[in-house]
Amino acid sequence: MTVAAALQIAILGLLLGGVYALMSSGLTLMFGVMRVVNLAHGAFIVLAAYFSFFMWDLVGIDPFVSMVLALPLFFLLGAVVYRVFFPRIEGSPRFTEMTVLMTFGFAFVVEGLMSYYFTGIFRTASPGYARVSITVGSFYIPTGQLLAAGASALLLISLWAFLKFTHTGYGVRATMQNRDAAQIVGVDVRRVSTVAFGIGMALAGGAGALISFILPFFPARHWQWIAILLSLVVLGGMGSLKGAVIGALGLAVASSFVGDIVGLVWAPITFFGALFVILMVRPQGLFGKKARV
Amino acid sequence: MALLEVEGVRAGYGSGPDILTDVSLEVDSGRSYCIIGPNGAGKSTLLKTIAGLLRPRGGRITFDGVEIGGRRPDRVLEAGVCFVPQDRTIFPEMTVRENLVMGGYLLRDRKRVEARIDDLFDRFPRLAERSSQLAQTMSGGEQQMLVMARALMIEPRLIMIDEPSLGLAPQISNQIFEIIRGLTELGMTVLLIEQNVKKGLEIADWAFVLDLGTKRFEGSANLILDDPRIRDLYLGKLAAASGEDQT
Amino acid sequence: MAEQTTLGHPVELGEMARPSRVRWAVVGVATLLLLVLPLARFLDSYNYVLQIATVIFMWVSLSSSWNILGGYTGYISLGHNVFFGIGGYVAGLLLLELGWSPFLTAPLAGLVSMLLGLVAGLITYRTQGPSFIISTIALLLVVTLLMDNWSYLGGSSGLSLPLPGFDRDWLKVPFYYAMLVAAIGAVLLAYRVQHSKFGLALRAIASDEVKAEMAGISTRRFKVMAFSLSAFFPGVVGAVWGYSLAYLRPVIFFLIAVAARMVLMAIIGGRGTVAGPVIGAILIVVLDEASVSFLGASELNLVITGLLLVVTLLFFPLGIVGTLRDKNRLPSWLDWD
Repeated sequence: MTVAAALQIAILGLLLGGVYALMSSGLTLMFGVMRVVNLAHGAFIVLAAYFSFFMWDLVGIDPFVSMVLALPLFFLLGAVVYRVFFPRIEGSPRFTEMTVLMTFGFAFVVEGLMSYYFTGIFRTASPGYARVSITVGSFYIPTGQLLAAGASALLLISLWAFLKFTHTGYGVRATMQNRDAAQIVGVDVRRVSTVAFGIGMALAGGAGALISFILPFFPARHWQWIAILLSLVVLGGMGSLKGAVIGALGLAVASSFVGDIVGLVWAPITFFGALFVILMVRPQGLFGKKARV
Repeated sequence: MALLEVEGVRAGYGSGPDILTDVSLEVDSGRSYCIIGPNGAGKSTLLKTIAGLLRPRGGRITFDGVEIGGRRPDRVLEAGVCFVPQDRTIFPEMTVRENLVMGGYLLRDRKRVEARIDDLFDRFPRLAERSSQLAQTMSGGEQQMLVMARALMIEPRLIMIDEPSLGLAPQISNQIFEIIRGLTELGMTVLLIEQNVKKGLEIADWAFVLDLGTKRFEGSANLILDDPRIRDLYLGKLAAASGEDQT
Repeated sequence: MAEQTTLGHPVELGEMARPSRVRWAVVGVATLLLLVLPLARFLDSYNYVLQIATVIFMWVSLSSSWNILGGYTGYISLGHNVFFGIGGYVAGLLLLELGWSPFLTAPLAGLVSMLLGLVAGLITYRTQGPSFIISTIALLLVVTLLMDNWSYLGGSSGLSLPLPGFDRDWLKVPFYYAMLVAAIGAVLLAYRVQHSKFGLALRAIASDEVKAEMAGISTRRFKVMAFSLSAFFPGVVGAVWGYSLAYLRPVIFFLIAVAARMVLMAIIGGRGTVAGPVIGAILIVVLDEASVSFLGASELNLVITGLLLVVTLLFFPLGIVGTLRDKNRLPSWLDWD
């Protein structure tokens, strides 16, 4: 493999990694703030992809517009889902485990409804930019993927700025780092949790809209995605946003090399293989703390 | 009228037994109090219940005439009751300054938060030096200093401090005690739990003796400190044991 | 309820000593009925009844096995159907390559599954809670990917198996008995585990792993053993099930919905109890039949699975057996612990 060919593969991997980073950021946020492992995150991403696909296919609305619409819609959905289901199990001694099982149930409900109404056919939205590419030197870059990676970066930066500079953002970060201390300084953790769950879901909504024109999808697709995303979350150290983003970029690049050398179908193995290795060597993940495992 | 009134409070964790069976006590404004008693007496549970971290199963807690029992912790804090728990609950991945900003979470007014931080940096120069350091990289004593400074951000009317010297070297403990003494001298109302009974009683004006979830005795701190009979009666081995490690 | 974990009641040694007569009568009558059920061949709906019973036995076996790891030990596997599939493929290959009947090689298939369970246990034994669950999902997807793309095993289109050479009228009977044996075996195994020191250690791990370790229980070894043990019967029934279908395909075994079924049955019946998975399996299979014939769409079946799981967790997380016991309303013939 020449250096140029390797760089080309790395570029494509990075673009995809940007979207994976966005997809896993919501999951990480939910775990970090509320200790909720949301197995339905992938299913909600697919739901948003359908939203964006039908907006394009039936109404002719651009996926980027759908993305902007999906953010508040999915935020609301997330806040409602959180308030309806989670306070009930809040006191249970194995809260995180309960959330895994419950969101496992959500995932089947969402998948089943999507299969019923949207059938199992592969879908992709195909706006003009999704079918062209630009050339920079000897490299070609698919325009759609570039735009999607750019939008992901923008959303991730907004998330970072929200956490770093706003009042509620401080509350969210504080709750992630030490829930007891957050309560003691007067953070209303129930409210912060609702907001964080909403934001996590909004990120799924945004990611889904972007996915709609770069990856083909069908209802059951979310299992593969959620497994990849969860691997990233564990790998980065559960609840570490930085870890999830770095893991997503690194492994997406690695997986596009695996895809190129071994065969495209084997690309997902990269994520799972990395997960098993990390679990054996450093179970708390790359950026995690021991106590958090 | 007392600042804080606790009347017949009962509390416990989850579906477990009552840790506090029946606690009543009064705290007057501007004085300092020490709660003493053996392990498992319910000292920490009492502070947590007052702070709103634990819902009382019975009884009343009023602060400045307003019922605060069972209120959310942020509401209790708004009323002016601040709690410094025993495990040095810092925000590990925030800087010292950010930790203090969190202490002023309820203030909302940025200018006021900045003014408070400046004020506290004057009072705790050590923290000022470490302003942009991550809290998790500080020593135990500095972390204890940080959580107390953080509690002072909102200028509470009552500050409750749980075992501030736990796990600290004697010299560092003494610094922490000096800080607490400083607070009492400024006229702040302090409710303290301290394993080092002698030190705690030296700082406090008044003491409550707690055992088996209820108040057994109360009296002037000096009286308890000086009267061997009371010491034997209510503190027993506890005072004897903690007497050994005092310098 | 916080003190009493979702994982069954504390063990009282005295309990074992007083078997209730009612229970034995019920068990005896049930066994007798099950043994002679194939005689229903002389009735009209014979094939259907026998088929449903066979499917129920299969799920009893799968769900009871899952319960050893997910119920007693408190380690939730969402990829346990891996072992079901491995069993199917091992027995299928032995049939195709060597002509050995899956009825005979089923225990061997179970052993291979156990071995894989051991490997999986060794990979994951340092993880807890969510990390463990996630690694079981990843395991499932890795195996699925392998099976989908391994041309020797027919990839995603799978392998066809020769039909057994029995008389057509009696074709279902050997499968019925094989699954019955697997179901009884799995329930007995669960019962034995429940009443052994090993089971006590597993439940100690479930209620507080740190304390269990401090009490001198070698938690890691027990976890790996539980993982391995819980993989045996899924391998056995996988072998029998593949043979009965006469073809092996990844989508039959490796869909995560299959794992979800095991989990749902154990939880709805009562996690960490012996009778729970049995009741859960009967309930869900019957419900399945009803919903397919009323609703017709298998997609909606998925919705029902998800809803049942959510509703159970929200409103009676102890499951049927656990909730009844909690209220002291558990009839003695259902108390198998």
